[in-house]
Amino acid sequence: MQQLVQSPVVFVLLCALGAVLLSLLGVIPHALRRTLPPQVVGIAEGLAGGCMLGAGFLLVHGPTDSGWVAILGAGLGVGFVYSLQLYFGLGAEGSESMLGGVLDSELAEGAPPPPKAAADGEIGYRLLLESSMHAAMEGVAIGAAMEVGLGLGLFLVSALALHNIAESLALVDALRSRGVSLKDAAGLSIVVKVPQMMAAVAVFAVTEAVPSLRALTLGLAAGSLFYTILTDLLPAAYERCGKMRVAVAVSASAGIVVLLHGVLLGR
Amino acid sequence: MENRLLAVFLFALGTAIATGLGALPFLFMREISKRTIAIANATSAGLMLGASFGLLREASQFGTWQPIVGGAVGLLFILLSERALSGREIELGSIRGAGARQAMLVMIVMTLHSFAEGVAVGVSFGGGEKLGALITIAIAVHNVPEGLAISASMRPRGASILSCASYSVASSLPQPLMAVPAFVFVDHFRPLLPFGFGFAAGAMVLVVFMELAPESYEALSRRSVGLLVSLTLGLMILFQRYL
Repeated sequence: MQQLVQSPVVFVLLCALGAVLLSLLGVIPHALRRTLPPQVVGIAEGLAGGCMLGAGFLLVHGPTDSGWVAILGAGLGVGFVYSLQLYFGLGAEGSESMLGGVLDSELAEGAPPPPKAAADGEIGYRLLLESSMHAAMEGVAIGAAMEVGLGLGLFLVSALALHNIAESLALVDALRSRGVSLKDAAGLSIVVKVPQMMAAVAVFAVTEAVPSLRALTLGLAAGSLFYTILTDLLPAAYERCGKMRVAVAVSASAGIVVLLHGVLLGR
Repeated sequence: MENRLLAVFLFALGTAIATGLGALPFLFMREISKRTIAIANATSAGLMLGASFGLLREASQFGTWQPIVGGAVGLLFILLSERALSGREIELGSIRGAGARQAMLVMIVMTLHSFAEGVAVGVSFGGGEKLGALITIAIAVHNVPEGLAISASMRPRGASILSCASYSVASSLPQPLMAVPAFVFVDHFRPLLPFGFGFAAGAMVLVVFMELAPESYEALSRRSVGLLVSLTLGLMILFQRYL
């Protein structure tokens, strides 16, 4: 048992598992109140986006400061998520954002908004698919940061764990608005995060075996995080609570992430 | 000493004039539609995010908490500016209304940014002419995409190229104005740099997420906004790093 825990790969798995399980805290407000005000959900999405923005900044400009290779990796990260969205028809005109909103501008003129009714429909499937893709990219960030060092790795796990809470709150809200029960929504909010653990472990193992990939994976993680903020979290947040609240939430949480990194880990 | 002061001023003035070059790409823009405005907003957003990342990176060399405190003050400043501007009839050159308000906010953040850069030029000359010249060139080159960001918020709303170039240069005039006192009192100005950079970065990030990004979604798909902002962000980071 002791040998298992001392294994770096298992350690990364356990940290990622902890970040995933913390998402359940995002379910608590829904247990206390049947429906949450959209402004609360929107602010939560903004805070989650800010955590990701701060994490992305640290991955590119942090202790490793990886230069053009990291930027190339960021481009690959953006390209990868974009390709997946293209393949599954996500993020285009008329499509619904991960967390429930459809931007008015994206509706064809005169077209009815997509129905929010539950269940096994295409809308539910796309919502969960996009959430899983999003979680996998965060797992890449955790794995890459863990390989750089324990300090950065644990810091990033913590930042993403907090972000998981906010995101879970928004996801459960979207699922509940589709008629999914609280129990099922809570379970799904964990299930969609499983790719986060898998990606963290895989990326950590690969970069540990091939250290020259470090800069590339850091950039890949940062690029995919930035892109996900722009295509997922922000549009949904703006729809729910307006641009000023979202802007303050994103800026403040990004600033706090960068500040805590500087204070706790030094430059 | 007087010759040195003149040299610092002229170098810094050169960086300000370089900002006007950012208007040149718009010589080739013919049609100005809602989509063009959205593309310009997304481009500006990526460039400004990249600039604020660069500022934070520079600032972190001087302190850990100072840039963030500066950023928080910058955030508050923009919120207060937004409150002061809302409900008023704003004009910026030939632009009026909501578009003028947004362009004004972009101008404000870029001008604030220039104060910090002017201090950086002055402080760097305190370390010798060679260092000063190097930093000045870097800032001059870095100013071009900032001029592009300002022009991108003005040109699609009907401002002339000359107007865009003029306002871009004007936004950088604090650089020569701050460079000289910063050079003379370098020991007093150096500790202020991380706060100044943080202030500018915080203000810029807020304007990106409060104005530029939401307006981009009005005429572009989420995928398009994501791609455009990510691309210009990456290019700006590369530009700052290697040019």
